[in-house]
Amino acid sequence: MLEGAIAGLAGGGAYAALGLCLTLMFRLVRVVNFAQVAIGVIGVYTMAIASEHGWPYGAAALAGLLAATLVAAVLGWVMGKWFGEAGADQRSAISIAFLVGLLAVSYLVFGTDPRRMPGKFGGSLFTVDGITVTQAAAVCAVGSVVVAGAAWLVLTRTVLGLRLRALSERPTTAELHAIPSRRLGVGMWAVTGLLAAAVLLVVAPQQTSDQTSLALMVIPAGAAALVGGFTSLGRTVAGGLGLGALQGALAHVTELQQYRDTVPFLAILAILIWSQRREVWDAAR
Amino acid sequence: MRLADKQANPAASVLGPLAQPAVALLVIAVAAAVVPQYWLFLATSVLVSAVALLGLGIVGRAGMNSLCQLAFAAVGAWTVAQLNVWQAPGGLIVWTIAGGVAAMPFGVLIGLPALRLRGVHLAVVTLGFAAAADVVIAAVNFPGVETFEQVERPMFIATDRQYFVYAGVLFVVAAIGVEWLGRTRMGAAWRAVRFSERATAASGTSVARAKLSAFALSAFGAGLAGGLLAGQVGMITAQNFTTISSLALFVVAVMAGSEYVGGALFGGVLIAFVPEIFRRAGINQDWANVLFGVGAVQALSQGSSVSEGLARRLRARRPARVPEPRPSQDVGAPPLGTRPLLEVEGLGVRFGQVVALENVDLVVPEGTVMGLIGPNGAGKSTLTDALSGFLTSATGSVTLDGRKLDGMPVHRRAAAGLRRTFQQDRVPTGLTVGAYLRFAAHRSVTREELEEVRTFLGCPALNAHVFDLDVGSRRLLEVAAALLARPKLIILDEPAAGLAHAESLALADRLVEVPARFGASVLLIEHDLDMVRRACASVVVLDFGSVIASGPPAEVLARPEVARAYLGDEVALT
Repeated sequence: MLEGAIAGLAGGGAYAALGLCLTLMFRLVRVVNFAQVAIGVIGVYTMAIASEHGWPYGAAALAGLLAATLVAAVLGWVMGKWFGEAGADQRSAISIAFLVGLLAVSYLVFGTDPRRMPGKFGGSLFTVDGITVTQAAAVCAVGSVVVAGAAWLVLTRTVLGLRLRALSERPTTAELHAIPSRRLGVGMWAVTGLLAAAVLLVVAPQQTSDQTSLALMVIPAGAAALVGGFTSLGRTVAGGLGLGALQGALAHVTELQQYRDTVPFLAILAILIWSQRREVWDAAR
Repeated sequence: MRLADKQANPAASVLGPLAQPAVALLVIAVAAAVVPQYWLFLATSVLVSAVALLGLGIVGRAGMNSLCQLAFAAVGAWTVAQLNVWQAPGGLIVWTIAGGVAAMPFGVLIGLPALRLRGVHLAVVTLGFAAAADVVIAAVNFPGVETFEQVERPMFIATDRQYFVYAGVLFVVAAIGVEWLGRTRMGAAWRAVRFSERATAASGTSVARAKLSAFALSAFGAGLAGGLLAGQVGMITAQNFTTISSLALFVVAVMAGSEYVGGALFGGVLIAFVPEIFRRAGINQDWANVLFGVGAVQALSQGSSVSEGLARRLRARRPARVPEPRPSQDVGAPPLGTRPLLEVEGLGVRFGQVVALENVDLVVPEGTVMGLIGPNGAGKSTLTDALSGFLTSATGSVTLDGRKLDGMPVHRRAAAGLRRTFQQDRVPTGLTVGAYLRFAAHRSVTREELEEVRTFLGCPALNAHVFDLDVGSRRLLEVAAALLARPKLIILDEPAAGLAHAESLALADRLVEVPARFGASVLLIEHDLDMVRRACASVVVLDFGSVIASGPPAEVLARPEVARAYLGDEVALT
């Protein structure tokens, strides 16, 4: 059970880091970006293709990160250009269209055949009492905490962070104070796209998943972000790690093993119903 | 008016509302006879998707996004497969309907969180459900798959040609059902919920029932589609109902506009034929989803789907004609009334440390118009919210015509005879004037009654679309709707906001007539003191959450404490 929970931390760290992307996007550019992980998928498949063409891993990974950043920036530009004034609901609906479109593009460009994913973090880091901690689990878990810390520092301690917060809380007022909203929006998309690709570079080689199931990691990532109410970075990380550990632990219960992927849904439901239990009406008055 | 409509469109008057279904059935019959079998199979797929999209359109009407439509379809398909394995009596048609019914509880289950969750949150839940359903389907598999048992079709729909006709008839029946439901009070409630939940409840309709019925019927549509698919392909697998297909279905619904029957059919055509056309042209079929994604983004950037844009253009957008206001005439003062109708005792409302209302006692007599005035922040709207049941934390007691209202939810209070209007514009834009009035009346009303109330307040014609009305007309329409419900008491929250001064005074004259004509007392909240003077038999003044004065308008408005509340200490002292 405990071994399973620790093994689940690799997935949990990924959920946490991807959940952070979702939280940052929702806080700063008012969108639940359903296409977040699909952007990362473009990156990781670019890496796979490049290394199949004989590129060294470092260069291939860099190309993948670059591709994801670029795709994210383009999508962010589209969002800013045509839906700058739209509400979170509409922008999120658009991100669903992005998801469906991006996956189709991914199948067009990279094909539907399974790819060999070269990776760097396949080995085990250390073993204590027969419980093995893999490198991927450590990188993901520590990485998500580091990213959350860095994001918190940028948001609270720098001028850029101040501008971003101003933009998210009072977009019109911020623009009246000459804060370039569209450029910052595109920047946010690019940075979270880069982050999503980096996460997938670590976890994708550890699992045999196709583009679709990788892209749908947005669901557990969304569950993690919901633990933080799409606002708290710390609780998002905790939620992601907890969800991963729970899934890992359930993998060791034979009766529930095949249903462990329903855990995100049940978690989503429980968290939302609890946090929104007082939201009886759609409008405040 | 009606006669003129019929003369203008004689074809419609002969065939009536059955014209479109008749044409659709004719098209199906001709297609079944002449179209090659291969294309007919594809056309059947169009109809399967179209039925699922019709269902999706129902939650769309209610303003909710459902990303798990194919999970409901899987329930329908699973039911058909299981009944087939059992060789249950009734055959495929009965099984398909059973599949739709079996999907309904799942719809209700997903609808339950929707009572608290909206927008993005609801979308995340439905997406989570779709993914969870994927997992469960993969684990349990469809009945009969392991033993290669094909779903059996009855003799008369055994060939693909016959099955196409069957699917066509099922689609037409489902489309008629959806259109008919859209015209019922339930259908109007869906559109009203989309626009404002508060206003829906205030007009006597349960928001929970509206949302749950939308989800249940949407799931029913999906379940039918699943059953239809099971009969079409004979052997179903989890591949037919993946999460990503549910998302693609949603994207197509956004693009085509599945709230319209034509939109659902167009969406079905897109889903079935676009990949096929690409395949024949030697283009990778995955381009279809790219196209749908781009199409949905385009539709959202336009603010309307393909069908909605078309419908708006066909409607020949012209602002609805607002009738000339009736000339002002002296209608005298309303009677004071003696028998108490609404009795409020010790009403208190707190928001954290802020006391919004404190120990308010108020009696509104039967058959009168009473004014409620006070400066901004005095607690007038809080009082309205508390009386109509929106503030469950309110203390004290409220009695209407001898019946205690305490603890009753909003829609029950409305049904008990307490109606209110809103300061904000809360008339659902998706309806026509007539449909809105019928919905808000919450009882069956004759066309004569509708016309009477409409002309009484000077609202636009019944076939005008609320979308095309200016704010002032919408305010009057809201008042008309509340009157039509024949309430005992009607609370008007600043009905003259958005009206010109002359129009406000005309409205005041109408309000004076309300007790005698409609048998309702009026509690008028208004800043326009000219209007209050003209319409009200008595006035209550609220300041800082307490009643500071009450009595005849002229006398109350002359009191120094009232002037002080409105203008501040210095002005009142000079």
